[in-house]
Amino acid sequence: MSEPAIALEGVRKQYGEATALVGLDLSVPWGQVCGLLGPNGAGKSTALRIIAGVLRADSGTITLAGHDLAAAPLDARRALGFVPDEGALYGLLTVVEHLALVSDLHEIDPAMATARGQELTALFEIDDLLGRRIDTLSKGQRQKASLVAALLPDPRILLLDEPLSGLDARAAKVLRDLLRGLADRGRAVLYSSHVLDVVERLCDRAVIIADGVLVADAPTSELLAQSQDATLESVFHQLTRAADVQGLADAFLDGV
Amino acid sequence: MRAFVLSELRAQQYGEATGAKPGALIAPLTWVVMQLLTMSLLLCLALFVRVSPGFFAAANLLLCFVSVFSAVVVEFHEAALHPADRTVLGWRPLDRRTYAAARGTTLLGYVALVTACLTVLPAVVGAGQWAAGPWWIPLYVGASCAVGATAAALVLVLHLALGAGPVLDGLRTALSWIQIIGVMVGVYGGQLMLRDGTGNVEMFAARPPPWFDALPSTWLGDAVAAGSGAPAVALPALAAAVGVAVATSMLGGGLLARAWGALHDGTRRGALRGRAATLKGTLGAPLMVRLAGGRQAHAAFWLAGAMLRRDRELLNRSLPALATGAAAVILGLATDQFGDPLNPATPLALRALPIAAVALIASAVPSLLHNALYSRDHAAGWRLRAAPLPSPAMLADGLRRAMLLYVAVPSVLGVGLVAAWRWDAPLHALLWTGMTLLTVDGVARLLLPTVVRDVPFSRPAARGVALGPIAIPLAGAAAVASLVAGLASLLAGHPLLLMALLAGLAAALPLITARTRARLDARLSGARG
Repeated sequence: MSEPAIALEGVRKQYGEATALVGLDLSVPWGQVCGLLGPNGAGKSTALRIIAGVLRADSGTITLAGHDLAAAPLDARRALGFVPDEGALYGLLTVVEHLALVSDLHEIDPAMATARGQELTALFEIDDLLGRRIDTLSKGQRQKASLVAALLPDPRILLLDEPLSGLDARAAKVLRDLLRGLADRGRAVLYSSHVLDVVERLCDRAVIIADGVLVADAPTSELLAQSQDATLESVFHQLTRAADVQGLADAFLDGV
Repeated sequence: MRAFVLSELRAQQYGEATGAKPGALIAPLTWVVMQLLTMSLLLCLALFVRVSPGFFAAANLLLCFVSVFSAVVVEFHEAALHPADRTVLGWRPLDRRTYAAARGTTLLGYVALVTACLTVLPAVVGAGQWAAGPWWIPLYVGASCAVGATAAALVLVLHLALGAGPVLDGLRTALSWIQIIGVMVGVYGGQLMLRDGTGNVEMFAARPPPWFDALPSTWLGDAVAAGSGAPAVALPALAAAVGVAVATSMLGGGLLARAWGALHDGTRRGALRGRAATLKGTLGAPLMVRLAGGRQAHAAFWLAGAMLRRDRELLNRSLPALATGAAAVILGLATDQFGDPLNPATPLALRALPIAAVALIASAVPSLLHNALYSRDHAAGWRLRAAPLPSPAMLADGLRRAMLLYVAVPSVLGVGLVAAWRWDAPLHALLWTGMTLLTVDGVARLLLPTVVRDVPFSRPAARGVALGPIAIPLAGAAAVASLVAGLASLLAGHPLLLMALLAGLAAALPLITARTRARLDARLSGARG
């Protein structure tokens, strides 16, 4: 597997007048957890949705597991598991129905899907919620169901958009351990998050985009070495040209 | 009232269902008000001066009871108790009494508005009757309020005693249908009553059937009429009506308060557990999967069926389109114009409504398909967009099959049963039903690439989507269906030619699919990433 798991070349996306991505180039090798960082509106979710085949790029090429998403969409999509922001599941279905739907759409062997589903639902502690309709679940429970659904087809590439959103501490640890284990077994994970310390601890590499442009792409250790206080937060502020946040906060508190 | 303003739950539920913004919520309620006022006006005008004040009051009180009952059942979730309130309550520090006050005010406001719409015209118009006395208005308003309160409270008692479930869902769907068809038939019947020169209305009022005399609304109407000159005469009946209203309201209110409390506490504790369920690796039995043409095709069909059955807002958006066909059948039966179009002896004029019914049912197809693009679960549409499907057309095809199985087949079979009874010719009804089903399916297959422009259930529902840009497909469907039904009727008396037509229709279906699949694939591939 010499080719990268995910390769984006010159991907551009425009929403009316607003440009979300400006010729984004990105490459994620196998066996790596890659953090995708950026301020709000930087284009992270757009990038993930384009890679997942939910949105169409205006130009550029996307290659997943060696398959061009435009030329060989079936092979490319089969390699992929995706957890969008807020889960986004069919609220009118029960958890068990949703997992069966995923199994059928991905044509997973039913026996294998059952066994894998049992393992995953037990791991995320939602095995007693299988008969519940998804719109009656809490945010965290929905997020767990979304993670189980994404992992069910045993994808070689995993795209995660704010996966820790709503998860309790135990489930968050389970997910972090799971992602590390998957990467160690050769899978590729692209992990978008605002929680910088998690990215710092979990990701082998961090990619930072701002205003649709890639501004940093390096191993996490290298980025940390460049920062003044050895945190990803200072690198993030420096590269995304954030305003003097501390100064603004101090000014606000002075008036309180 | 403050609680109502702070957490206007009806607005939140309505906004969630329709995608409407709170500021735009007047429109649906205005529609309800206009509908009820129109019905009330038609009845008042049809009966004014032609019947006795007692019959006038009884008929209007009966309309009030039926309309309030129906309105509260149909909008029970929005007006009284919505399971989705959990999402509102789940994270807010909302006191149990505040929630009850907000819900109670919403319910009272809704019932008061509906009752007022059905009270004001009979009270004013009725006072102008020759035999009505000076006490007509206060007595009628009192009686009407008691009837409205009793009807609403009865819904609460029945709903909460039976428990939410398939019985109530079925009743709600049935009443939605009855409302829509009732408005159509009511408007048609109302203008007939206004123009009636044969004295049928007067005859009915003078000698009403025994069941009408036995209704409590008739006793109350007679009491209002009798007491309009001497109020003491009406007081016992009115006191009894108010007593019944208070008793049922207390019972219904108590049950509702308990349900609100359980919902609130259940949310707080997070104690709602799921029904026991075991994981399945697939949605369908092997035979069903084989019939559907594979697991992915079956999944698309299954999902469309589940959404059609469970998404009440989708169902409500779709009902008016189908109800026009049902109204044509009912009008045909009521006016004795629903003749057997496959009987050569039937005059051409009596074949018009059966043919129109086929055209109207077929013209509902584009509306149903179009409505299925929109859903409250639209955010989950990415699942179908990102799925590894060799042919995205299977998503639209699954929707067509589900629409056919869950909506078209029951509707057409219903019409077929009515036709078999009315025509007294089961074979003709069977052939007509078969022809209708083949036509509806053919129209659906033809229109899929035109109407299904996006992945099913992937767009947010918004007010006005039920109409949508489907005028041309709708006209096309009606034209094709009229043509086929007219041709079938012209072939009456020529069984071989008729069978050839049916065989031709059946043979055309796979050809249409083969011709349209490439266009559909291209369109839905574009809609996916």
